[in-house]
Amino acid sequence: MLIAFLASFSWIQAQEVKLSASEATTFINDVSKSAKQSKTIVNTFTQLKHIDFLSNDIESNGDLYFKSPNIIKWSYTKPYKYSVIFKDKKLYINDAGKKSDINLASNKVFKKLNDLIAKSVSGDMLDESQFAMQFFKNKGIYIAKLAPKDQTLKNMFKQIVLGFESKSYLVSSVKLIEPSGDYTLIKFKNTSVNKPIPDAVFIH
Amino acid sequence: MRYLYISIFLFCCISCKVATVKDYTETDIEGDELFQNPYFSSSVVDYVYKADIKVYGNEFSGILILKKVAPLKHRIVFTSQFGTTFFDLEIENDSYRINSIVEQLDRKIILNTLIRDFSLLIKEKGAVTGKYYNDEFTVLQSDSNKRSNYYFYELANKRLHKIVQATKRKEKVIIRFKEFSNNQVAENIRIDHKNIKLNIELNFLKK
Repeated sequence: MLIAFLASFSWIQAQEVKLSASEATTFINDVSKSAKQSKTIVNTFTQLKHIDFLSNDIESNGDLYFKSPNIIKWSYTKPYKYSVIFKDKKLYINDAGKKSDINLASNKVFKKLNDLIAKSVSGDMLDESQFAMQFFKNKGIYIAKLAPKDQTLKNMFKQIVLGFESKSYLVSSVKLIEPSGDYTLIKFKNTSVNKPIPDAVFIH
Repeated sequence: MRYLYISIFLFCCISCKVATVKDYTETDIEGDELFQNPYFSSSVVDYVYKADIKVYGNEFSGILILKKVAPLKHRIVFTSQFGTTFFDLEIENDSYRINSIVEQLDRKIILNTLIRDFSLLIKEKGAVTGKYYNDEFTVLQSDSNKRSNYYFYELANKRLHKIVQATKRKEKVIIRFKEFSNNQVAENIRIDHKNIKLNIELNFLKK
């Protein structure tokens, strides 16, 4: 059993190949180019919250709308209706019809989280001054492992792992790992880029 | 004359009775009777609720996760919808341990209230110090730390309907349980404070 486990573990490790310095530079440039060209992104997402002591991960689903440079809407549809729009330095919440907003200018933690999320959706966050970065390739996917340098972000997450489609350089998954090791994994599907999004989507 | 004193004494006792069980009839406790709260007593169930907390006009929404991790120990984690942790704590008997808490909630008064509420919410069983009844409910009283907890059981099905925590004179907290599923889960829970503006509503998340 243990041997089987170790064998599978080393097999997983072996699939992940570290990019060389020049490959990494090319990759960063390609992602940056793709992010700049993505004026809008629409997709569906599945979010899994993993907490070590729970028997099952907590799953939620919904739709994501992104408009460059930093308007973003997370619309959870399952298991309950809940949406947040990050827009004009504010966070607008619609909790099953109950509306509220939070001023991001007065809330450092939310502001940093917002910037992080907006950038991780477009992939435009491979910034050496903000993160200690490592890059890997595993079959058809590029993997960026980012350790925050900023103290506020560091308190929330010890590592952020982004998965990128190797052809389009679009983000296909985001894993936010907390200092305790518990994590939130968000997987994106049905992604469409540069399709116009009706203004009504971003109205609170 | 002696009877008059006794009557006055008895009258005082009765009038001192907290409003919670004022109109109830007192009855004898049966031997070593215990109060029971089944709603967080399973170690295999992940108790995952959408939580809405209202405190002095501010509202917080998130996911509250409770799990019985040892015979007398519960882990309680409150996260945002995005999964970031607001607090992570453990309650074991009458003691607690904080694994992490965000700056905004890390205040003694908030923490003490939350710990007291959660302790009351998850406490599984304990000694009974009084027993009352009316047409609808049997009420078991249990005293701890200068407060009394009153457990209301429906007569018809013996289901725990609510818990009221009170001092000698005043009710402080009421926990109401509603909408039950097969495996002893209360799918809707409300925690209301009487002396401070704090309300918590929990709705069980189905898969």
